[in-house]
Amino acid sequence: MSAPPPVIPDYGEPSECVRANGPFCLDWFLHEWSDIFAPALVQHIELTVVAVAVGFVLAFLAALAAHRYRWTAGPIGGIAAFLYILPPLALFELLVPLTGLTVLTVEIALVGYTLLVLFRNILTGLRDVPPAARRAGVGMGLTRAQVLWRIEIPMAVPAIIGGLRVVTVLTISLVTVAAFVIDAGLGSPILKALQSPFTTQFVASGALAILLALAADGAFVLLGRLLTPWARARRVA
Amino acid sequence: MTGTGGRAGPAEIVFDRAGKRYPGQTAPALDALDLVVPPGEICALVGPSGGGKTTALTLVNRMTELSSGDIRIGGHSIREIEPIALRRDIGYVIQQTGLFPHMSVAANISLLPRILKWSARATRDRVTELLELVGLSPAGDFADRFPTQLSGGQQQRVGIARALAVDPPVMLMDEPFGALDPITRDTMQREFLRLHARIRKTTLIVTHDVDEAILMGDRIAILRDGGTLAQHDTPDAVLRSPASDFVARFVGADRSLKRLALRTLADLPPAAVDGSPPRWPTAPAATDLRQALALVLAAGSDGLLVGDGGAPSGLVTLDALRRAGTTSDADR
Repeated sequence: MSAPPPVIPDYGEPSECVRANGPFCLDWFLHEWSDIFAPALVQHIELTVVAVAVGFVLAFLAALAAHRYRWTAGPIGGIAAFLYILPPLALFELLVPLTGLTVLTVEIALVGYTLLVLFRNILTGLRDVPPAARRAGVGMGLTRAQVLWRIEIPMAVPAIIGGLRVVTVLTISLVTVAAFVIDAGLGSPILKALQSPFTTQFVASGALAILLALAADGAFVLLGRLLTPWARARRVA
Repeated sequence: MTGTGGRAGPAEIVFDRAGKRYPGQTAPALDALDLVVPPGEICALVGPSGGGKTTALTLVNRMTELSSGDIRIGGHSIREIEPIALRRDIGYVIQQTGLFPHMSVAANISLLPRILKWSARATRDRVTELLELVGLSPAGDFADRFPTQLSGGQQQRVGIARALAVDPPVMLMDEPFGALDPITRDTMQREFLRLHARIRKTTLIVTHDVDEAILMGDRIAILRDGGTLAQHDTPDAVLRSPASDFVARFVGADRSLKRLALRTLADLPPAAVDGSPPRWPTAPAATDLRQALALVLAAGSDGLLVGDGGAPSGLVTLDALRRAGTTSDADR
Protein backbone atom coordinates (compact mmCIF):
# COMPACT_ATOMS: atom_id res chain seq x y z
CA MET A 1 0.00 0.00 0.00
CA SER A 2 1.55 3.24 -1.12
CA ALA A 3 1.55 6.40 0.93
CA PRO A 4 -1.28 8.84 0.18
CA PRO A 5 -0.27 12.04 -1.59
CA PRO A 6 0.58 14.86 0.76
CA VAL A 7 -2.31 17.13 1.64
CA ILE A 8 -0.17 20.20 1.08
CA PRO A 9 1.47 20.04 -2.40
CA ASP A 10 5.20 20.35 -2.57
CA TYR A 11 5.85 23.89 -3.79
CA GLY A 12 9.61 23.40 -3.54
CA GLU A 13 11.94 25.63 -1.69
CA PRO A 14 11.29 29.38 -2.11
CA SER A 15 14.29 31.21 -3.51
CA GLU A 16 16.39 33.62 -1.53
CA CYS A 17 14.72 36.51 -3.38
CA VAL A 18 11.20 35.39 -2.53
CA ARG A 19 12.13 34.77 1.12
CA ALA A 20 13.64 38.27 1.36
CA ASN A 21 10.67 39.78 -0.58
CA GLY A 22 13.03 41.43 -3.09
CA PRO A 23 11.61 44.10 -5.42
CA PHE A 24 11.45 41.72 -8.40
CA CYS A 25 12.05 37.96 -8.26
CA LEU A 26 12.58 36.65 -11.79
CA ASP A 27 12.30 32.98 -10.80
CA TRP A 28 8.90 33.53 -9.25
CA PHE A 29 7.76 35.64 -12.20
CA LEU A 30 8.76 32.91 -14.67
CA HIS A 31 7.13 30.25 -12.51
CA GLU A 32 3.86 32.15 -12.43
CA TRP A 33 4.01 33.39 -16.05
CA SER A 34 1.60 30.86 -17.49
CA ASP A 35 -0.77 30.94 -14.50
CA ILE A 36 -1.02 34.67 -13.80
CA PHE A 37 0.79 36.95 -16.18
CA ALA A 38 0.24 35.47 -19.65
CA PRO A 39 -3.56 35.23 -19.29
CA ALA A 40 -3.71 38.74 -17.78
CA LEU A 41 -1.59 40.15 -20.61
CA VAL A 42 -3.75 38.51 -23.28
CA GLN A 43 -6.94 39.81 -21.65
CA HIS A 44 -5.36 43.24 -21.41
CA ILE A 45 -4.56 43.25 -25.12
CA GLU A 46 -8.06 42.03 -26.01
CA LEU A 47 -9.76 44.71 -23.92
CA THR A 48 -7.51 47.38 -25.48
CA VAL A 49 -7.92 46.24 -29.08
CA VAL A 50 -11.72 46.09 -28.85
CA ALA A 51 -11.93 49.52 -27.19
CA VAL A 52 -9.59 51.24 -29.67
CA ALA A 53 -11.18 49.55 -32.69
CA VAL A 54 -14.74 50.41 -31.70
CA GLY A 55 -13.68 53.92 -30.66
CA PHE A 56 -11.91 54.42 -33.97
CA VAL A 57 -14.92 53.38 -36.04
CA LEU A 58 -17.26 55.65 -34.05
CA ALA A 59 -14.85 58.60 -34.08
CA PHE A 60 -14.15 58.14 -37.80
CA LEU A 61 -17.85 58.20 -38.69
CA ALA A 62 -18.40 61.19 -36.40
CA ALA A 63 -15.46 63.03 -37.97
CA LEU A 64 -16.79 62.34 -41.48
CA ALA A 65 -20.15 63.76 -40.41
CA ALA A 66 -18.52 66.81 -38.83
CA HIS A 67 -16.37 67.31 -41.94
CA ARG A 68 -19.38 67.16 -44.23
CA TYR A 69 -21.81 69.08 -42.00
CA ARG A 70 -19.76 71.67 -40.16
CA TRP A 71 -22.45 72.52 -37.61
CA THR A 72 -22.27 69.00 -36.13
CA ALA A 73 -18.62 69.42 -35.09
CA GLY A 74 -19.49 71.44 -31.96
CA PRO A 75 -22.12 69.10 -30.49
CA ILE A 76 -20.13 65.94 -31.29
CA GLY A 77 -17.00 67.42 -29.77
CA GLY A 78 -18.99 68.44 -26.69
CA ILE A 79 -20.32 64.92 -26.08
CA ALA A 80 -16.85 63.42 -26.60
CA ALA A 81 -15.32 65.96 -24.22
CA PHE A 82 -17.94 65.16 -21.56
CA LEU A 83 -17.13 61.44 -21.76
CA TYR A 84 -13.43 62.26 -21.61
CA ILE A 85 -13.57 64.31 -18.41
CA LEU A 86 -15.65 61.83 -16.38
CA PRO A 87 -13.44 60.09 -13.78
CA PRO A 88 -13.14 56.41 -14.79
CA LEU A 89 -14.29 55.02 -11.43
CA ALA A 90 -17.31 57.32 -11.42
CA LEU A 91 -18.18 56.18 -14.93
CA PHE A 92 -17.96 52.53 -13.86
CA GLU A 93 -20.24 53.33 -10.92
CA LEU A 94 -22.75 54.90 -13.27
CA LEU A 95 -22.68 51.98 -15.69
CA VAL A 96 -22.69 49.00 -13.30
CA PRO A 97 -26.39 49.34 -12.38
CA LEU A 98 -27.20 49.28 -16.10
CA THR A 99 -24.82 46.73 -17.54
CA GLY A 100 -23.52 44.90 -14.45
CA LEU A 101 -20.00 43.78 -13.60
CA THR A 102 -19.32 42.81 -17.18
CA VAL A 103 -16.87 43.26 -20.01
CA LEU A 104 -19.53 45.41 -21.66
CA THR A 105 -19.38 47.92 -18.81
CA VAL A 106 -15.62 48.14 -19.14
CA GLU A 107 -15.68 48.48 -22.94
CA ILE A 108 -18.33 51.21 -22.90
CA ALA A 109 -16.21 53.24 -20.54
CA LEU A 110 -12.97 52.60 -22.43
CA VAL A 111 -14.52 53.50 -25.78
CA GLY A 112 -15.87 56.70 -24.21
CA TYR A 113 -12.36 57.80 -23.34
CA THR A 114 -11.01 57.22 -26.86
CA LEU A 115 -13.56 59.33 -28.68
CA LEU A 116 -12.42 62.89 -27.99
CA VAL A 117 -8.80 62.51 -29.07
CA LEU A 118 -9.62 60.34 -32.10
CA PHE A 119 -12.47 62.57 -33.25
CA ARG A 120 -10.40 65.74 -32.96
CA ASN A 121 -7.36 64.27 -34.68
CA ILE A 122 -9.27 62.76 -37.58
CA LEU A 123 -11.30 65.94 -38.12
CA THR A 124 -8.21 68.14 -37.93
CA GLY A 125 -6.45 65.88 -40.42
CA LEU A 126 -9.33 66.15 -42.86
CA ARG A 127 -9.62 69.91 -42.45
CA ASP A 128 -5.89 70.56 -42.80
CA VAL A 129 -5.73 69.26 -46.38
CA PRO A 130 -4.32 72.20 -48.40
CA PRO A 131 -7.15 74.03 -50.19
CA ALA A 132 -5.16 73.89 -53.44
CA ALA A 133 -5.15 70.08 -53.36
CA ARG A 134 -8.88 69.90 -52.69
CA ARG A 135 -9.55 72.51 -55.39
CA ALA A 136 -7.41 70.66 -57.90
CA GLY A 137 -9.30 67.46 -57.14
CA VAL A 138 -12.69 69.08 -57.63
CA GLY A 139 -11.48 70.92 -60.73
CA MET A 140 -10.23 67.74 -62.43
CA GLY A 141 -13.65 66.17 -62.04
CA LEU A 142 -13.46 64.02 -58.91
CA THR A 143 -16.75 63.33 -57.16
CA ARG A 144 -17.18 64.33 -53.53
CA ALA A 145 -16.53 60.71 -52.45
CA GLN A 146 -13.39 60.51 -54.61
CA VAL A 147 -12.04 63.72 -53.10
CA LEU A 148 -12.67 62.27 -49.64
CA TRP A 149 -11.22 58.78 -50.17
CA ARG A 150 -8.41 59.57 -52.58
CA ILE A 151 -7.23 62.92 -51.28
CA GLU A 152 -8.54 63.97 -47.88
CA ILE A 153 -8.40 60.70 -45.95
CA PRO A 154 -4.96 59.59 -47.24
CA MET A 155 -3.58 63.03 -46.38
CA ALA A 156 -5.12 62.81 -42.90
CA VAL A 157 -3.32 59.52 -42.13
CA PRO A 158 -0.46 61.12 -40.13
CA ALA A 159 -2.98 62.92 -37.89
CA ILE A 160 -5.07 59.74 -37.57
CA ILE A 161 -2.03 57.65 -36.60
CA GLY A 162 -1.07 60.35 -34.09
CA GLY A 163 -4.50 60.07 -32.50
CA LEU A 164 -4.34 56.27 -32.39
CA ARG A 165 -0.95 56.39 -30.64
CA VAL A 166 -2.22 58.65 -27.87
CA VAL A 167 -5.48 56.76 -27.47
CA THR A 168 -3.89 53.29 -27.41
CA VAL A 169 -1.42 54.24 -24.71
CA LEU A 170 -4.22 55.88 -22.74
CA THR A 171 -6.43 52.80 -23.07
CA ILE A 172 -3.68 50.38 -22.03
CA SER A 173 -3.27 52.47 -18.90
CA LEU A 174 -7.01 52.68 -18.25
CA VAL A 175 -7.59 48.94 -18.68
CA THR A 176 -5.69 48.38 -15.39
CA VAL A 177 -8.52 50.25 -13.62
CA ALA A 178 -11.05 47.87 -15.17
CA ALA A 179 -10.02 45.32 -12.52
CA PHE A 180 -12.41 47.12 -10.18
CA VAL A 181 -15.23 45.81 -12.36
CA ILE A 182 -14.03 42.52 -13.84
CA ASP A 183 -11.29 40.06 -12.95
CA ALA A 184 -9.33 40.54 -16.14
CA GLY A 185 -6.28 42.31 -17.51
CA LEU A 186 -3.04 43.28 -15.83
CA GLY A 187 -4.98 45.43 -13.35
CA SER A 188 -6.26 42.26 -11.72
CA PRO A 189 -2.88 41.01 -10.37
CA ILE A 190 -2.03 44.59 -9.42
CA LEU A 191 -5.22 44.94 -7.38
CA LYS A 192 -4.61 41.60 -5.68
CA ALA A 193 -0.98 42.50 -4.99
CA LEU A 194 -2.09 45.65 -3.20
CA GLN A 195 -3.49 43.43 -0.45
CA SER A 196 -0.24 41.50 0.03
CA PRO A 197 3.20 42.59 1.15
CA PHE A 198 4.85 40.60 -1.67
CA THR A 199 6.10 43.10 -4.27
CA THR A 200 7.05 41.03 -7.32
CA GLN A 201 3.49 40.51 -8.56
CA PHE A 202 2.80 44.24 -8.32
CA VAL A 203 6.05 45.27 -10.02
CA ALA A 204 5.78 42.64 -12.76
CA SER A 205 2.19 43.53 -13.69
CA GLY A 206 2.92 47.23 -13.81
CA ALA A 207 6.06 46.68 -15.88
CA LEU A 208 4.14 44.51 -18.36
CA ALA A 209 1.52 47.24 -18.81
CA ILE A 210 4.26 49.79 -19.49
CA LEU A 211 6.07 47.52 -21.95
CA LEU A 212 2.79 46.80 -23.72
CA ALA A 213 2.14 50.53 -24.11
CA LEU A 214 5.62 51.12 -25.50
CA ALA A 215 5.28 48.22 -27.95
CA ALA A 216 1.87 49.42 -29.17
CA ASP A 217 3.19 52.94 -29.64
CA GLY A 218 6.17 51.63 -31.61
CA ALA A 219 3.89 49.51 -33.77
CA PHE A 220 1.85 52.57 -34.72
CA VAL A 221 4.99 54.53 -35.55
CA LEU A 222 6.02 51.75 -37.93
CA LEU A 223 2.53 51.54 -39.43
CA GLY A 224 2.60 55.30 -40.01
CA ARG A 225 5.90 55.06 -41.84
CA LEU A 226 4.61 52.28 -44.04
CA LEU A 227 1.42 54.14 -44.91
CA THR A 228 2.94 57.58 -45.49
CA PRO A 229 6.26 57.32 -47.29
CA TRP A 230 5.48 60.78 -48.72
CA ALA A 231 5.51 62.41 -45.28
CA ARG A 232 9.23 61.71 -44.92
CA ALA A 233 10.18 62.37 -48.54
CA ARG A 234 12.14 65.58 -48.71
CA ARG A 235 13.86 67.39 -51.49
CA VAL A 236 16.66 65.41 -52.97
CA ALA A 237 17.52 67.88 -55.71
CA MET B 1 -18.31 59.70 -74.09
CA THR B 2 -18.81 62.55 -71.74
CA GLY B 3 -19.15 66.29 -71.73
CA THR B 4 -17.84 68.36 -74.56
CA GLY B 5 -16.94 65.55 -76.88
CA GLY B 6 -13.19 65.74 -76.30
CA ARG B 7 -10.51 64.02 -78.36
CA ALA B 8 -11.84 65.77 -81.48
CA GLY B 9 -9.26 68.56 -81.39
CA PRO B 10 -9.51 71.95 -79.74
CA ALA B 11 -12.93 73.42 -79.11
CA GLU B 12 -14.17 76.99 -79.24
CA ILE B 13 -15.16 78.61 -75.93
CA VAL B 14 -17.98 81.16 -76.11
CA PHE B 15 -19.08 83.38 -73.24
CA ASP B 16 -22.60 84.50 -74.12
CA ARG B 17 -23.61 87.33 -71.76
CA ALA B 18 -22.19 85.15 -68.99
CA GLY B 19 -22.88 86.70 -65.58
CA LYS B 20 -22.29 85.88 -61.94
CA ARG B 21 -23.84 87.65 -58.99
CA TYR B 22 -23.18 86.33 -55.50
CA PRO B 23 -26.09 86.42 -53.08
CA GLY B 24 -26.07 89.49 -50.82
CA GLN B 25 -23.78 91.50 -53.07
CA THR B 26 -25.03 94.46 -55.04
CA ALA B 27 -22.33 94.52 -57.73
CA PRO B 28 -22.00 91.48 -59.99
CA ALA B 29 -18.71 89.55 -59.87
CA LEU B 30 -18.98 89.19 -63.63
CA ASP B 31 -21.31 91.30 -65.72
CA ALA B 32 -22.71 89.84 -68.93
CA LEU B 33 -19.37 88.85 -70.43
CA ASP B 34 -19.28 88.34 -74.18
CA LEU B 35 -16.07 86.67 -75.26
CA VAL B 36 -15.08 84.17 -77.94
CA VAL B 37 -11.92 82.12 -77.70
CA PRO B 38 -11.33 80.51 -81.11
CA PRO B 39 -10.21 76.87 -81.18
CA GLY B 40 -6.55 76.43 -80.34
CA GLU B 41 -5.97 80.00 -79.17
CA ILE B 42 -4.77 81.25 -75.80
CA CYS B 43 -6.89 83.97 -74.24
CA ALA B 44 -5.36 85.74 -71.25
CA LEU B 45 -7.87 87.07 -68.74
CA VAL B 46 -6.16 89.93 -66.97
CA GLY B 47 -7.21 92.71 -64.66
CA PRO B 48 -7.02 94.03 -61.12
CA SER B 49 -8.30 91.88 -58.26
CA GLY B 50 -12.05 92.19 -58.05
CA GLY B 51 -12.34 92.21 -61.82
CA GLY B 52 -13.92 88.76 -61.87
CA LYS B 53 -11.26 87.01 -63.92
CA THR B 54 -11.06 83.93 -61.68
CA THR B 55 -14.86 83.90 -61.52
CA ALA B 56 -14.96 83.89 -65.32
CA LEU B 57 -12.54 80.94 -65.36
CA THR B 58 -14.36 78.82 -62.79
CA LEU B 59 -17.71 79.45 -64.49
CA VAL B 60 -16.36 77.43 -67.42
CA ASN B 61 -15.90 74.23 -65.40
CA ARG B 62 -18.88 74.96 -63.18
CA MET B 63 -16.88 75.27 -59.99
CA THR B 64 -18.88 78.50 -59.94
CA GLU B 65 -22.41 78.34 -61.32
CA LEU B 66 -23.67 80.89 -63.83
CA SER B 67 -26.27 83.40 -62.62
CA SER B 68 -27.18 84.49 -66.13
CA GLY B 69 -26.22 83.98 -69.73
CA ASP B 70 -24.46 80.91 -71.04
CA ILE B 71 -21.07 79.46 -71.86
CA ARG B 72 -20.61 77.04 -74.75
CA ILE B 73 -17.66 74.75 -75.37
CA GLY B 74 -17.49 73.33 -78.87
CA GLY B 75 -21.10 74.42 -79.34
CA HIS B 76 -22.43 72.61 -76.23
CA SER B 77 -23.91 74.66 -73.41
CA ILE B 78 -22.16 73.85 -70.15
CA ARG B 79 -25.56 74.08 -68.44
CA GLU B 80 -26.50 70.84 -70.15
CA ILE B 81 -23.39 68.91 -69.14
CA GLU B 82 -23.16 67.27 -65.74
CA PRO B 83 -20.37 69.11 -63.81
CA ILE B 84 -18.23 66.02 -63.08
CA ALA B 85 -18.29 64.95 -66.74
CA LEU B 86 -17.64 68.53 -67.85
CA ARG B 87 -14.58 68.91 -65.59
CA ARG B 88 -13.07 65.64 -66.77
CA ASP B 89 -12.99 67.13 -70.28
CA ILE B 90 -11.29 70.34 -69.15
CA GLY B 91 -7.65 70.49 -68.10
CA TYR B 92 -7.29 72.55 -64.94
CA VAL B 93 -4.02 74.05 -63.70
CA ILE B 94 -3.81 76.20 -60.58
CA GLN B 95 -1.27 78.26 -58.71
CA GLN B 96 0.86 76.31 -56.19
CA THR B 97 0.19 73.41 -58.63
CA GLY B 98 -2.37 71.74 -56.35
CA LEU B 99 -0.36 68.54 -56.67
CA PHE B 100 -1.40 65.83 -54.23
CA PRO B 101 1.55 65.55 -51.84
CA HIS B 102 0.76 61.97 -50.85
CA MET B 103 0.92 60.71 -54.43
CA SER B 104 3.99 60.17 -56.56
CA VAL B 105 4.39 62.18 -59.75
CA ALA B 106 3.09 59.21 -61.76
CA ALA B 107 0.11 58.76 -59.44
CA ASN B 108 -0.74 62.46 -59.67
CA ILE B 109 -0.72 62.41 -63.45
CA SER B 110 -2.56 59.11 -63.74
CA LEU B 111 -5.30 59.81 -61.19
CA LEU B 112 -7.97 60.69 -63.72
CA PRO B 113 -7.04 57.89 -66.18
CA ARG B 114 -7.22 55.42 -63.29
CA ILE B 115 -10.60 56.76 -62.18
CA LEU B 116 -11.77 56.42 -65.79
CA LYS B 117 -10.52 52.79 -65.68
CA TRP B 118 -7.88 53.02 -68.36
CA SER B 119 -5.81 49.85 -68.67
CA ALA B 120 -2.62 49.77 -66.61
CA ARG B 121 -0.55 49.71 -69.75
CA ALA B 122 -2.30 52.66 -71.41
CA THR B 123 -2.03 54.62 -68.18
CA ARG B 124 1.69 53.92 -67.80
CA ASP B 125 2.39 54.82 -71.43
CA ARG B 126 0.44 58.06 -71.09
CA VAL B 127 2.41 59.08 -67.98
CA THR B 128 5.71 58.51 -69.79
CA GLU B 129 4.48 60.40 -72.85
CA LEU B 130 3.30 63.37 -70.77
CA LEU B 131 6.45 63.59 -68.65
CA GLU B 132 8.47 63.76 -71.83
CA LEU B 133 6.08 66.32 -73.32
CA VAL B 134 6.56 68.69 -70.38
CA GLY B 135 10.33 68.25 -70.41
CA LEU B 136 10.71 65.92 -67.43
CA SER B 137 12.73 63.23 -69.15
CA PRO B 138 13.94 60.63 -68.81
CA ALA B 139 10.52 60.05 -67.28
CA GLY B 140 11.72 57.21 -65.07
CA ASP B 141 13.75 59.60 -62.95
CA PHE B 142 10.68 61.61 -62.00
CA ALA B 143 7.72 59.21 -62.01
CA ASP B 144 8.32 57.80 -58.54
CA ARG B 145 9.23 61.03 -56.78
CA PHE B 146 6.88 62.86 -54.48
CA PRO B 147 5.99 66.50 -55.19
CA THR B 148 8.08 67.72 -52.23
CA GLN B 149 11.11 66.28 -53.99
CA LEU B 150 10.67 68.57 -57.01
CA SER B 151 11.55 72.21 -57.61
CA GLY B 152 8.75 74.73 -58.12
CA GLY B 153 9.17 74.69 -61.89
CA GLN B 154 9.18 70.89 -61.99
CA GLN B 155 6.04 70.80 -59.85
CA GLN B 156 4.26 73.12 -62.26
CA ARG B 157 5.31 70.94 -65.21
CA VAL B 158 3.73 67.97 -63.44
CA GLY B 159 0.62 70.09 -62.85
CA ILE B 160 0.41 70.79 -66.57
CA ALA B 161 1.03 67.13 -67.44
CA ARG B 162 -1.74 66.10 -65.05
CA ALA B 163 -4.15 68.57 -66.66
CA LEU B 164 -3.39 67.03 -70.05
CA ALA B 165 -3.78 63.43 -68.83
CA VAL B 166 -6.97 62.53 -70.70
CA ASP B 167 -6.26 64.90 -73.62
CA PRO B 168 -9.01 67.44 -72.95
CA PRO B 169 -9.95 69.86 -75.74
CA VAL B 170 -9.81 72.85 -73.39
CA MET B 171 -7.40 74.05 -70.68
CA LEU B 172 -8.08 76.45 -67.82
CA MET B 173 -5.08 77.92 -66.02
CA ASP B 174 -5.50 80.03 -62.88
CA GLU B 175 -2.34 82.08 -62.17
CA PRO B 176 -0.30 79.01 -63.16
CA PHE B 177 3.10 80.65 -62.84
CA GLY B 178 2.26 83.05 -60.02
CA ALA B 179 4.16 81.22 -57.29
CA LEU B 180 7.40 80.81 -59.25
CA ASP B 181 10.52 82.95 -58.98
CA PRO B 182 10.96 85.40 -61.90
CA ILE B 183 13.59 83.37 -63.76
CA THR B 184 11.67 80.09 -63.49
CA ARG B 185 8.46 81.89 -64.41
CA ASP B 186 10.05 83.27 -67.55
CA THR B 187 11.30 79.80 -68.55
CA MET B 188 7.95 78.18 -67.84
CA GLN B 189 6.02 80.81 -69.80
CA ARG B 190 8.15 80.29 -72.88
CA GLU B 191 8.12 76.52 -72.51
CA PHE B 192 4.36 76.51 -72.18
CA LEU B 193 4.07 78.52 -75.39
CA ARG B 194 6.25 75.96 -77.20
CA LEU B 195 4.18 73.15 -75.72
CA HIS B 196 0.97 74.89 -76.71
CA ALA B 197 2.19 75.26 -80.29
CA ARG B 198 2.29 71.43 -80.37
CA ILE B 199 -0.92 70.56 -78.56
CA ARG B 200 -3.12 73.53 -79.61
CA LYS B 201 -5.56 73.29 -76.69
CA THR B 202 -7.99 76.18 -76.45
CA THR B 203 -6.65 77.82 -73.32
CA LEU B 204 -7.99 80.39 -70.88
CA ILE B 205 -5.27 81.72 -68.61
CA VAL B 206 -5.94 84.03 -65.67
CA THR B 207 -3.19 86.38 -64.57
CA HIS B 208 -2.87 89.68 -62.74
CA ASP B 209 0.42 90.32 -64.53
CA VAL B 210 -0.09 92.34 -67.70
CA ASP B 211 3.33 91.34 -69.05
CA GLU B 212 2.40 87.68 -68.68
CA ALA B 213 -0.88 88.33 -70.48
CA ILE B 214 0.91 90.11 -73.34
CA LEU B 215 3.45 87.30 -73.65
CA MET B 216 1.04 84.37 -73.36
CA GLY B 217 -2.19 85.56 -74.96
CA ASP B 218 -3.07 85.35 -78.62
CA ARG B 219 -5.68 87.79 -77.37
CA ILE B 220 -6.05 89.40 -74.00
CA ALA B 221 -9.29 90.23 -72.25
CA ILE B 222 -9.00 93.01 -69.70
CA LEU B 223 -11.62 92.88 -66.97
CA ARG B 224 -12.20 95.76 -64.57
CA ASP B 225 -14.10 96.34 -61.32
CA GLY B 226 -17.65 95.13 -61.49
CA GLY B 227 -16.73 92.33 -63.86
CA THR B 228 -17.03 94.33 -67.05
CA LEU B 229 -14.90 93.71 -70.10
CA ALA B 230 -12.73 96.77 -70.72
CA GLN B 231 -11.09 95.53 -73.90
CA HIS B 232 -10.59 92.29 -75.81
CA ASP B 233 -8.04 92.27 -78.59
CA THR B 234 -4.59 91.14 -79.61
CA PRO B 235 -1.77 92.32 -77.34
CA ASP B 236 -0.47 94.55 -80.14
CA ALA B 237 -3.86 96.21 -80.66
CA VAL B 238 -4.40 96.73 -76.92
CA LEU B 239 -0.98 98.34 -76.55
CA ARG B 240 -1.33 100.43 -79.71
CA SER B 241 -4.79 101.76 -79.00
CA PRO B 242 -6.12 101.19 -75.48
CA ALA B 243 -9.90 101.43 -75.46
CA SER B 244 -10.06 103.63 -72.37
CA ASP B 245 -8.02 105.49 -69.77
CA PHE B 246 -8.45 102.48 -67.53
CA VAL B 247 -6.84 100.15 -70.07
CA ALA B 248 -4.08 102.67 -70.79
CA ARG B 249 -3.25 102.93 -67.09
CA PHE B 250 -3.51 99.19 -66.61
CA VAL B 251 -1.13 98.24 -69.42
CA GLY B 252 1.26 100.94 -68.20
CA ALA B 253 2.88 104.13 -69.42
CA ASP B 254 5.60 102.03 -71.05
CA ARG B 255 3.14 100.38 -73.42
CA SER B 256 5.04 101.59 -76.46
CA LEU B 257 8.09 99.70 -75.19
CA LYS B 258 5.96 96.62 -74.46
CA ARG B 259 4.61 96.84 -77.97
CA LEU B 260 8.13 96.99 -79.39
CA ALA B 261 8.97 93.87 -77.39
CA LEU B 262 6.26 91.96 -79.26
CA ARG B 263 8.06 92.26 -82.59
CA THR B 264 11.52 91.51 -83.91
CA LEU B 265 13.77 93.21 -86.43
CA ALA B 266 12.56 90.63 -88.95
CA ASP B 267 9.04 92.10 -88.69
CA LEU B 268 10.11 95.54 -89.96
CA PRO B 269 10.23 96.33 -93.69
CA PRO B 270 13.89 95.80 -94.58
CA ALA B 271 16.03 98.69 -95.76
CA ALA B 272 18.96 97.80 -97.99
CA VAL B 273 22.49 98.82 -97.08
CA ASP B 274 23.72 101.38 -99.68
CA GLY B 275 27.45 101.15 -100.20
CA SER B 276 29.57 100.76 -97.08
CA PRO B 277 27.49 100.26 -93.92
CA PRO B 278 27.48 103.03 -91.28
CA ARG B 279 29.32 102.37 -88.00
CA TRP B 280 26.20 101.24 -86.17
CA PRO B 281 25.77 98.33 -83.77
CA THR B 282 24.78 94.97 -85.31
CA ALA B 283 22.03 92.67 -84.03
CA PRO B 284 20.50 89.38 -85.29
CA ALA B 285 17.11 89.51 -87.01
CA ALA B 286 15.50 87.67 -84.05
CA THR B 287 16.26 90.59 -81.71
CA ASP B 288 13.05 92.15 -80.39
CA LEU B 289 12.55 95.82 -81.20
CA ARG B 290 12.75 96.89 -77.57
CA GLN B 291 16.23 95.43 -77.27
CA ALA B 292 17.11 96.93 -80.65
CA LEU B 293 16.07 100.38 -79.41
CA ALA B 294 18.16 99.90 -76.28
CA LEU B 295 21.18 99.04 -78.44
CA VAL B 296 20.68 102.15 -80.55
CA LEU B 297 20.31 104.37 -77.48
CA ALA B 298 23.35 102.85 -75.84
CA ALA B 299 25.49 103.37 -78.95
CA GLY B 300 24.15 106.88 -79.59
CA SER B 301 23.68 105.89 -83.23
CA ASP B 302 20.87 106.67 -85.65
CA GLY B 303 20.03 103.01 -86.27
CA LEU B 304 21.44 99.51 -86.33
CA LEU B 305 22.53 96.84 -88.76
CA VAL B 306 20.74 93.52 -89.03
CA GLY B 307 22.94 90.47 -89.39
CA ASP B 308 23.91 87.20 -87.80
CA GLY B 309 27.65 87.73 -88.17
CA GLY B 310 29.18 88.26 -91.58
CA ALA B 311 27.89 91.01 -93.84
CA PRO B 312 24.76 92.84 -92.56
CA SER B 313 21.62 91.89 -94.45
CA GLY B 314 19.96 95.26 -93.95
CA LEU B 315 19.57 98.18 -91.61
CA VAL B 316 16.91 99.65 -89.35
CA THR B 317 16.87 103.33 -88.61
CA LEU B 318 15.99 104.95 -85.31
CA ASP B 319 13.15 106.62 -87.15
CA ALA B 320 11.72 103.22 -88.17
CA LEU B 321 11.93 102.02 -84.57
CA ARG B 322 10.18 105.19 -83.39
CA ARG B 323 7.34 104.64 -85.86
CA ALA B 324 7.01 100.99 -84.81
CA GLY B 325 6.52 102.03 -81.22
CA THR B 326 4.03 104.82 -81.81
CA THR B 327 0.67 104.34 -80.14
CA SER B 328 -2.55 105.98 -81.16
CA ASP B 329 -2.92 108.13 -78.10
CA ALA B 330 0.52 109.27 -77.13
CA ASP B 331 -1.03 112.31 -75.45
CA ARG B 332 -2.94 110.33 -72.83
